Amino acid sequence: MIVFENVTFGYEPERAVVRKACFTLSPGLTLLLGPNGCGKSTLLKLAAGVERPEEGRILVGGAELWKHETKARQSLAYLPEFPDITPYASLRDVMHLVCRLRGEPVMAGDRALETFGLGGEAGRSIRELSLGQRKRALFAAAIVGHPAHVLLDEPFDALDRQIADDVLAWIRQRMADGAALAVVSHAIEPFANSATRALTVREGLVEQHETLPRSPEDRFHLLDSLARGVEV
Amino acid sequence: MKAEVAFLRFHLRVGARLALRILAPVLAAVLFLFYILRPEFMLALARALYLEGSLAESGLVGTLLLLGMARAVMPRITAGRAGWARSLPADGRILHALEILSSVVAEAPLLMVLGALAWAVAGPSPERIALHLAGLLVGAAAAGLLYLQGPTSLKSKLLPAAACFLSFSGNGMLLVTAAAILALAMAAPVDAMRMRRRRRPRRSLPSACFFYWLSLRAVGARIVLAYIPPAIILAAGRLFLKNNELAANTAFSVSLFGLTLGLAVFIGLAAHALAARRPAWPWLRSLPLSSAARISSDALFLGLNALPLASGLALLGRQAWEVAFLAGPLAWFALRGAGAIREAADRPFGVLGQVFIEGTIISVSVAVLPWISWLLVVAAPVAFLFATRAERRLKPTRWAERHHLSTGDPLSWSAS
Repeated sequence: MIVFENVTFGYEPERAVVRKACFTLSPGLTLLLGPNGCGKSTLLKLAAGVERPEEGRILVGGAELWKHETKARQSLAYLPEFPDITPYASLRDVMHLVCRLRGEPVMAGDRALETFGLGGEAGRSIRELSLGQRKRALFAAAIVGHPAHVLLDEPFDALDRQIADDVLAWIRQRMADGAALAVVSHAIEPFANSATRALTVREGLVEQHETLPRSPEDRFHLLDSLARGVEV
Repeated sequence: MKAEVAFLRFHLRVGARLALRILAPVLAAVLFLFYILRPEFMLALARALYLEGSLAESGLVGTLLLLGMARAVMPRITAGRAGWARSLPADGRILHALEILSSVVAEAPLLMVLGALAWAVAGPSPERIALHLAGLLVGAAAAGLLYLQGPTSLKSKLLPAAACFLSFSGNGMLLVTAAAILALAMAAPVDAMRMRRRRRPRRSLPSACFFYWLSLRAVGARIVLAYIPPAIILAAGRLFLKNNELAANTAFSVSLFGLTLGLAVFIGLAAHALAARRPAWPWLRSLPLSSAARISSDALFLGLNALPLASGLALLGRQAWEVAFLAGPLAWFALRGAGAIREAADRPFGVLGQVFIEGTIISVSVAVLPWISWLLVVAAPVAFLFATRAERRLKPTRWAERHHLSTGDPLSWSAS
């Protein structure tokens, strides 16, 4: 699980995006919802260790993210909204790097690329790929090593329908395996039934809905309201 | 026609904004030449360029000056033209000409200095002054055109290069020839709008020292260029030592100063190139790799590439064992350079300025008190700590304007 303890963060001084956030991303699927710019992706970046909190601490699997940097990130997979893979290495190079860092055989990286239909593009640079292919490359990196903490930012953006279905199946499999998944998505339909809890950010304050209604209509209504930024 | 007028206004504004940015360093260089090296030196330079130099000498120096300036401004003028801009309703050939015009406007500060020098040495003849000024404009346009051509099109670069070369002749006939060549080159089929072909990585990066090779590939040939200023410093040091009778300890201090400053300048330039070409990689921070490891890999890259400069000891006639005095400054600068890359967006002088200023102070200190180099060895862990803190403090996904450079833009890697 990922634990936020009194986390405060902002990109500019005195303009906090997240203030004193205290919540837990337990096993299951957590949906991060809210209107554009409310701080959903920032929460994910903080959980992934991309950005460092100005105050407070974050624990991933019991290890403090900025104290035990390597250990905390060992079981973590992060899919950013914009696929930022270095253009100075081929996809294969990047996948092999991920495998080595996660202690997996490099063949696992090649297999992951094959899974996402990028086996033939492994020698290419990210700049030579379409946006959807870039996103697929990051998905391939995410599935290496069966991570217990999965953070996905707009996972279905630019993906074709077949790959989106495969990704959804993979997400369900990870949930069944007991992983903690956090997904930022404006499309709530694919996750409405399987979501365990929902979370939103209002004016820097995190609001968590630990349990969701059982009835599909009520559940969808709640998630839709959170996604639109409507008070519930 | 409306679209062309709109583009004309746009490109004139771009050129003017770039000219304002160039103005400060050009003025600083002029003031340095005028007040430190004296007006006589400036006039000697101007005479060598416009009067005493042969056609080959004047042409070559002038061409290099204008090409250097065009190299700096053209990427900023043409940024993004291969993408969305191609869908706008304007003729490619006219855009081509407007971009060249924009580059000439952007180079105005340098052109004015060169023009003033021409006026100072051309005597009372208004014809000669007019010839030189016209030559400067033709040369600047030719230099701009050369950088507009496709990266692999050597043949298409020959005509603008020839026009630029001849424009410095100060001879009416040759200037007309240069203008004709320029017109011919501009009339040639336009490939200015051609997109740069992305090169595939030639081979896989070796897993050992992955980040070293990644950085080397990112910086590319710029790493070779970074050796030039330190080489000039070492060559000046050698000349100084050769032409002056110095006591042994003074000669040692001078050598140490040159070598340490050379290291600082090289590491500053390499770190600057690294910050621009290989900005922070946000996604990498989510992988199991500590900030200390990321700092170490950058410091290793800077330090290892600076090692060849130690051969400057031989150039300065020093003993091989004296290389030990460079260990401290090398470790310190490499670690400070790795830290400066992370702080570039928040520093007014950028990476180069920070390392250079610190490097100059340390070089003077080490030259006066050589034992400070041992102190730097002991203090290296402190530099490592500072750099690691800078890495952890960095907000890699924050967008910071870097004036059309990729540094600071978290999407610059993936933007096509």
